[in-house]
Amino acid sequence: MKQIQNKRISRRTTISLVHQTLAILLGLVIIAPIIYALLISFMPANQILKRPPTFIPKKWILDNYKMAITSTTLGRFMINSLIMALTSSIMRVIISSMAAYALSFYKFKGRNFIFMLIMGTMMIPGDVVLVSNYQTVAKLGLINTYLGMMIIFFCNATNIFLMRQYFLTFSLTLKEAAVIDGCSNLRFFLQILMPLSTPVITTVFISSFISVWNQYLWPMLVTNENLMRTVQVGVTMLNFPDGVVYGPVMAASILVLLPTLLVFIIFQKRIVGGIMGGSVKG
Amino acid sequence: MANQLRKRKVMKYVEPLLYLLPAIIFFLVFTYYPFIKTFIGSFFLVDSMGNFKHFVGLENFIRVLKDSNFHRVCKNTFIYTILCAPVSILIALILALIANKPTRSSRVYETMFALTMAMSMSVAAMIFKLAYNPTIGALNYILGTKINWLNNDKWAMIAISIISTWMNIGYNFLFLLAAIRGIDGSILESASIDGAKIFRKTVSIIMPLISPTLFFLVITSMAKDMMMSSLALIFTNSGAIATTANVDTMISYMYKQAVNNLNYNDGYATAIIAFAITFILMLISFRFEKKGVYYN
Repeated sequence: MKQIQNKRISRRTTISLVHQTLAILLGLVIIAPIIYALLISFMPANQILKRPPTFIPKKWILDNYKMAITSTTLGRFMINSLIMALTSSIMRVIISSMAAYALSFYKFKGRNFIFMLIMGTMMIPGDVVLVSNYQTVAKLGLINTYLGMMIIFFCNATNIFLMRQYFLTFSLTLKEAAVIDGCSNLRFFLQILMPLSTPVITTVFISSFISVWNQYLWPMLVTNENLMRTVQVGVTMLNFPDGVVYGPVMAASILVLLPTLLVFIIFQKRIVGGIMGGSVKG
Repeated sequence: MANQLRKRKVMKYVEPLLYLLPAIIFFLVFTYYPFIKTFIGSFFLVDSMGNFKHFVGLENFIRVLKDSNFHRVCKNTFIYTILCAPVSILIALILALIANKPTRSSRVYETMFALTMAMSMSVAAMIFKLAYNPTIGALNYILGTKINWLNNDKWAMIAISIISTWMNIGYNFLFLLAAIRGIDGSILESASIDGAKIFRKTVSIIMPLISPTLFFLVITSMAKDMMMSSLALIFTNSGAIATTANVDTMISYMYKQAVNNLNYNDGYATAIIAFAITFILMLISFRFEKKGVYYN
């Protein structure tokens, strides 16, 4: 009897092991383009140009990375993107938490109207209003400025919705009790509500960071000076002498990818919670 | 005393608005104002400085709708949308079924399945540009083909769709995984006692139960794909794709008309037409929803 049971358990673990191995192999197939770029980025130029193509570098070299960093302004692009992504994410947290606070802890005339006004913006894709926004930003004299590059990312209806859903899980009595104890509304918001909401704040911050870091079209539209370009725009315009193009471009791509990849792997649970609109609690 | 009371009453109304003010100003200036301006502008003659000259009625729309270039970009956009959404969702569904049961290493492969979410259009474009290279790229070598992916009338749009399909796998996977894991375990168990085979179980039990999520993904992918422009612009701007008519989409066409040619007449009208087509597609899908989607 016991033997049969043991046999069953060991059979089940074998099946599970096969399943896990196959799943990991499949995972490698899914991320194959990233691995491909990584391998090429360590490959000497003459091997990259060989036909048929080979995939394992004969000699692992760092020349491509050196070239990507020293002979281009990639470093400056990185700083530009970092400034843009960090500032936008901070602004998103501030503006959307303030709006969500008003929408969830106050009762006032027109609250539903304002909520619908904000949610309605989800129906209007950013691309449709791209040209008009460009004219607005140009009129404000913000072409080739950091503010111009990031101003349209300062607020987002999804973030407000997400934060509102989170704030609604707190009972109104929490605020009433604090106010009776002599706590002002603003102090309640800053010193009680915000510290209690770190999970949703992290979600909004991280998902904003990844999405703004990856923006291409808008930063390209509002900048025409090389030094103001972001990495996403810059990486498509890198110039290298003929014959050594692909290695440094792949190295640059890996460097551009690294920040979002790391952030994604570290904060995966939080981001997942964020994109599901708060249905999964972190 | 009465004065103070009134002040408190006013504050009670004004205070929440103060918190909402930045968001409201933002949405008015950067969403509603430009949308209304684009809409009105599409009925006007607009000069190259962007000033509205005079009302021309539907002239802009008629000119754009008659333009063979516009027909071409419409066709490209539809091909792209039809190719991307279903394939990416299907691959993600298979991955989600595989990852359904939590195991010791599930965190590893779940991360790998979802990783494309962190990719950007431009980096993906750079990687695939090399992979698509007819002589030294990986794709022809692996498939044993000799296709000039980016500079062939037939393949260029498919090549771009493949990039986008790949990039969307991660996002679709996470949603479908959450949906499948959310299915009540007892339903699946009773099915396996019945001896339902895996394939039948998937089609007849899991699919209807996750149909709201599938519907949501189809709708959001479609809305996103109809508005795609980045990949087309990256490849045509860098010269990797020489025949731009092969891959230009509605929005990249709008971008080129307005930004490169300063032709705001066509730009505004194209933007509104693209918005209207997408909107109508959404409405049709929501009608279909009543038939095909099961809510508990």
